[in-house]
Amino acid sequence: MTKQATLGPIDPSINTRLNPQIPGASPQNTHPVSVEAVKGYIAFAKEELAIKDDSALASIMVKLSEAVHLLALGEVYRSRAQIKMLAEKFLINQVTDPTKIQQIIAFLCSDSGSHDYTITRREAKNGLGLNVEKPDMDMYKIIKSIYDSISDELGLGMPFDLRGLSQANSGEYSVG
Amino acid sequence: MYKERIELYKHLENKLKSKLLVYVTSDRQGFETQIGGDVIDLFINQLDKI
Repeated sequence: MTKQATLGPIDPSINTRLNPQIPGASPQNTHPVSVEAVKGYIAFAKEELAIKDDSALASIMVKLSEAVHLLALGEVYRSRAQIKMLAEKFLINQVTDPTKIQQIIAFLCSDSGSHDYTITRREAKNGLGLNVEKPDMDMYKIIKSIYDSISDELGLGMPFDLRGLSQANSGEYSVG
Repeated sequence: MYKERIELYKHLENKLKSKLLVYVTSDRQGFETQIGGDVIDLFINQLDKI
């Protein structure tokens, strides 16, 4: 990993035809349902609000199933199990301590807080214990040159304006 | 451009004593892309060449 490189959490969102529909949008446009958000809702009730009463918890589940279709919730549960299983299969190639593997998976799936959490090289190596290699200056310059070349060609950092492209040069433009 | 990158890829492969497989997605505003569902065959073909 270079100093700019980052990793991110692996908490999935599911997209099925049964996902909640976006108000005002076409029926095909649905809200992705974050697996960890569903877990977070239940954890919020149990841990933050300290709801312990069985009937109250049942009401919370009913409310959840009113917002998210039952079958989509089932997919949420399956996705969570699947991503953890896949993570374990990949991690075993570089981390052999079973306890460490479970800690990494827990962090990547839920303890990181949100899908936006950015894992730097330092945290990946020192915090998570991943087998991260830091490039020497020569290798860094090569990788950076590759990235700069791709960035220039794709125009990363500049908004893509299709309408502007089609109006400029009588609609002629080149790619690559 | 791609031609200049080929030399950089070769240089990096020599340093790593390994092979490179480069797959690029975009976070350019208005042109965001994700990993496509069709990548498996592309990766297999590249890996076969490697």
